[in-house]
Amino acid sequence: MFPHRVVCILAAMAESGTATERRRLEERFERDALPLMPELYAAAMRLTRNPSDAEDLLQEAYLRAYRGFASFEEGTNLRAWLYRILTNAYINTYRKRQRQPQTISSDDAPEWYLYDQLSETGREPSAETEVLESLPDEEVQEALAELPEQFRMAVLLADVEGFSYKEIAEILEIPIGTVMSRLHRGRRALEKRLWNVVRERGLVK
Amino acid sequence: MDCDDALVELEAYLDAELKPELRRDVESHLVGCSHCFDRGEFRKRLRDIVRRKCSEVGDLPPAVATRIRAAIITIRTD
Repeated sequence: MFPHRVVCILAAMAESGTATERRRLEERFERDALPLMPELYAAAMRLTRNPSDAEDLLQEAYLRAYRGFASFEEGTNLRAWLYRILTNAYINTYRKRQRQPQTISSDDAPEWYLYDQLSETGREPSAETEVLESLPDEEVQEALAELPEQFRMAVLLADVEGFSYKEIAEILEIPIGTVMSRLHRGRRALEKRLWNVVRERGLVK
Repeated sequence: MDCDDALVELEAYLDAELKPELRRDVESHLVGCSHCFDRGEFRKRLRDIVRRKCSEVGDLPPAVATRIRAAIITIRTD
């Protein structure tokens, strides 16, 4: 048995150790996680497609990240860790609310559908993308937004946010093979929609 | 490596996700095959277009950043 005084001293030491540790975590969060907020906001905007939802989602993600920061292993990929929290928060709140069907639609397009369609308009091989280049940003964003959610997130993470397969697997908590197949099908589905947009706008004959 | 093999690997190649040996095989096929090379260039340009056209979503409003910092401080002192 320790004398009461010793127990008090030990308890005070333990507490100050915890306090130091907590302060260190807070400083690290401030230094490493907060500067990524503008980037995470852009990602939240792409996911929710409106500023007020994006702000709420960003706040939700940052509060979750702050509470769970002790579980983040220093020196590992903080950006991917934050994206995982953001993506999870989005899936849990917004997707539920939107009640989007979870089933993957069966609108698989042939592998070279868009390329072949554009080639048939008689353009030079190098000029096929010119017509796509001429589309307003809003139309491309709309085409992407129409994809089934799982495809859309994979395409966003790879093609817009620039994550690797391994990072996307971590963020979405799915195997790499699943990342590859969602990415593949998502990109082909996007190409098919882009072709529809091009045609609807009368940009090709 | 023939066209079928090259096109199967093309997506992972453009994503810079192939192991060095396979990447070199795809590369040397593309150099000598305009059929596959054109398709690769098309996908590369398309990806750039999607990235550019989806990038402009507006900046984080300073007031939002301030609000979130304040919310963090609130749970910190809980």
